[in-house]
Amino acid sequence: MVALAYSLAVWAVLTGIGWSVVRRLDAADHLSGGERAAAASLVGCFAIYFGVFAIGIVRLDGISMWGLAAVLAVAAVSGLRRIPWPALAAAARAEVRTATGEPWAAVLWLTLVVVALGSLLQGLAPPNDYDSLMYHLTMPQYDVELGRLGVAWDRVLPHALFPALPGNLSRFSLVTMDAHAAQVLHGLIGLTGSLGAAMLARRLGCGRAVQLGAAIVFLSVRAVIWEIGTVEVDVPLASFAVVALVVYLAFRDTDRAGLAVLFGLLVGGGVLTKYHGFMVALAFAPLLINDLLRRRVSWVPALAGPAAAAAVLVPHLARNFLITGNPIFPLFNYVFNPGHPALLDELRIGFGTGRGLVDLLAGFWNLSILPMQYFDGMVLGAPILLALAPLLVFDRERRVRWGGALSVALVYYIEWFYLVGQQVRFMLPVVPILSAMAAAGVGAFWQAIGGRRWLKGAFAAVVLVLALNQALFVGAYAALRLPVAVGLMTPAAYLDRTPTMNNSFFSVCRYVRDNLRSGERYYSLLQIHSFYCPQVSAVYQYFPDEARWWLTSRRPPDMPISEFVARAEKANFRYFVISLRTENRRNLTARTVVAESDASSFRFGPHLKPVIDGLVPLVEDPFAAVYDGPQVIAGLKAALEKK
Amino acid sequence: MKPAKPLGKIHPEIGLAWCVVVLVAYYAFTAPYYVYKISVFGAFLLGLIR
Repeated sequence: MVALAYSLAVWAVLTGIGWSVVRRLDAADHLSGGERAAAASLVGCFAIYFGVFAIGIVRLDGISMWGLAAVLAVAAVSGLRRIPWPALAAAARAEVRTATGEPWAAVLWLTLVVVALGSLLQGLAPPNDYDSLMYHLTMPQYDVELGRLGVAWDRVLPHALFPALPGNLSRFSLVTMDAHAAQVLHGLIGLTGSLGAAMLARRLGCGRAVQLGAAIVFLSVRAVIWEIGTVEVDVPLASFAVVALVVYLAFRDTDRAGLAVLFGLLVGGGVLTKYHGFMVALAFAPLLINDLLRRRVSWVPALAGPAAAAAVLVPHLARNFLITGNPIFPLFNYVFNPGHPALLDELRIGFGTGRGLVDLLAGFWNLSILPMQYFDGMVLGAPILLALAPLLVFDRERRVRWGGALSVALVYYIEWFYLVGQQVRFMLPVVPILSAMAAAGVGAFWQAIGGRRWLKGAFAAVVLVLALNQALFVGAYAALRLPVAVGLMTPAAYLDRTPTMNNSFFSVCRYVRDNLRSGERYYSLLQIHSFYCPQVSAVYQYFPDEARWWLTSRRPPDMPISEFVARAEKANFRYFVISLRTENRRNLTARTVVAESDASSFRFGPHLKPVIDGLVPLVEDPFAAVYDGPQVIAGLKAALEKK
Repeated sequence: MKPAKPLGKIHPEIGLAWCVVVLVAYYAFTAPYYVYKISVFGAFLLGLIR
C-alpha cells in the first residue's frame, strides 16, 4: 500500500508539472477540466522521462533519483496551486447528487469506480506477465543494478533500445520505491485513457451516461484489464493516442497554435511509449491534411504539432543513432545499416488470416470472432466493440461528428493490417475511440428503438450478455491478483501458482539472488532471463566480447566447448541456471502445453545436457533449475577429457 | 441526448439482428476457450479455498 500512496503522490507531481504546461498552451480555456487533467498528467510524464534520460547517463541510483524527485516536487507546486480545486470539488458534489437521483448514473459510476480501483490495486501484485519479465521491467532493473543507463547486449533483445518513456518511469520507480510503484504508475496512465475515452464522447456531444459507458467499455476490454496492472505499454500508448485526438478535435475547432503544440507533445509521447506511436501519428495525417485543404485549420499552427512531436523524439533518436547508427533502431535496420540483419521482422508473420483485400475487409470481424484461431488469443474478450460501435449509424444527428475520430481509427487499422504483426493488442491505441463509439452506439440505438418494448428487452439482453462476459474477465483478474496485492497471499505462493507463459522463474531466481555473493557471476540459459534474477552478474548465453553479434549477423558466434569451459572456469561461475521446459498456449482453448526443452535449442545444450542430467539441482521449479557452477564445469571438463 | 430517428431504410431490427449475429458467431467459435478457462479457474479457486 506504500507503493500505491507513493505512486499517487508521484502522479500528483506529474499532473502539477503538466498542468502548468497545458495551462500555457490552452490559455483561452478551450479544453474542459477533464480534458486538461488528462493532457496534464500525460505531459507531466515527460518530466521523469527526460530527467532519467539526462541524469541516468551518468548515474542511476538513490541520490540521483531522489534528487530528481525533489526537483520535480518543487516544480509541481505552481501547477498544483493553479488547479481549480474548488470547482473540482463542486463538480464532484454535483456528480454525487446526480448519481443519487438517477439510478443509471449511480450504476455506471459505481461500475466505473469498482473497475478502476480494482485495476489500480492489481498493480500491487508481483509482476508476472511475459513481456514485463522479459524486458519492460528487466531492462530497467539491469540499469538500476549497473548504476547508469546501459544496454544488456547479451539478452539479444532489440527491445533494449525501444522508446523508453514508460521504461524511465519504471527506472525511477525501481530506484525510489519498487516494481509495484512502476505498475501502479502505468495503471494511472491507463486510467487516463479511460478518462480520454469519456472526454472524446463528451467533445462529440454525448451525455454523461455515454461518457461513463465509454470509460467502462475501455477499462473492461480484456487486454486493458490484463495490462493495466503491469508495465506493458500498449495501454499507455492508447491513453496518449486518445487524449491526442481529443486535443486535436479542440484544435480543429479553434485553430489555436498552443493546442496544436499540445497535440504534438501527446503524439510524441505516444511514440516515446511504443514505436507503434509512429502509426498513430500517421493515422492523424489524412485528418490533418483534410482540415488544411478545407481551411479549417491554418498552416502554421497545424505544422506546430508535428514539429513539437519531432522535438521530443530527438534525444531518443540521437541516442539510438549514436549507439547503433539507426535512429529508429531496430526498425528498418537494413536501411540504416546496409548488410545488417532485419530485426523483429519475424513478428510480422504468424498472426492473422492473410493480407488480401477480403482479409482487410473482414479483419475486424475476424479478430473479434476468431481470436483463438488466427490471432494472439483472447485479447478483446466479448465482441462489444464489433457489436455495438456500428450502432452509431442510428444517431443521424451526431454520426457525422465522429468522422474525424473514425478516420484516425480506420487509417490506424489499415496500417496495423499491412505494416506490423497482426497482434490484436497492437490495436489498443484505437480501442478508446472504439469504446466511445460503442457507448455512443448503445445510446443512439436505445433512442432509435423508441417505445418498442420487445426490441428494448432483446437489446438489453444482448448488452447484459456482453457486460456479464466482460465482468468475467474483470472478476478473474481481480481474483488472481487482488489477494496477493492486499497481502492475503505471499508473492512466492502467487508466482508459483499463477500461470504465466514460461513461468516467472521466481523460485530459481530468488535462490540465485539470495545466495550469490558480491562480485560472483553466474551463467544463465533461461528462456527468458527473468526480472527476478540478478541482471548484471549474469552472463546470458554470450560473453561480453561476443554479445553484440546479433547487430551484424543472423548467425550466433561459434565457440568451441573447450573455450567455453576455459572461460567458465576463469569466470568462476557460481551457478548455471537452465530452462528445463517451455510452454505454448497458441491453441483453441489457450490450454498450456508443456514440452521438454530441446538441448539443441540453447547454447552448448548438447554438451550441458548430459552433464546436468547427472547432477542434482540446487533448486528446481517446473520450468527451470539451478546447478552448482563448479560441478557443471567439472562435468564438462571430464567429458572433454574422455574425448 | 436528443432522440435519434431511424435512418432511412435502416430499421432498429437490423441493429438488433447484427448484435445477435455477432454474439452467436462469437460463442460458436470461442466455446472451447470458455469451457476450458472456466474449468481451470474453478480449480484455481478451489485451490485457494483449500
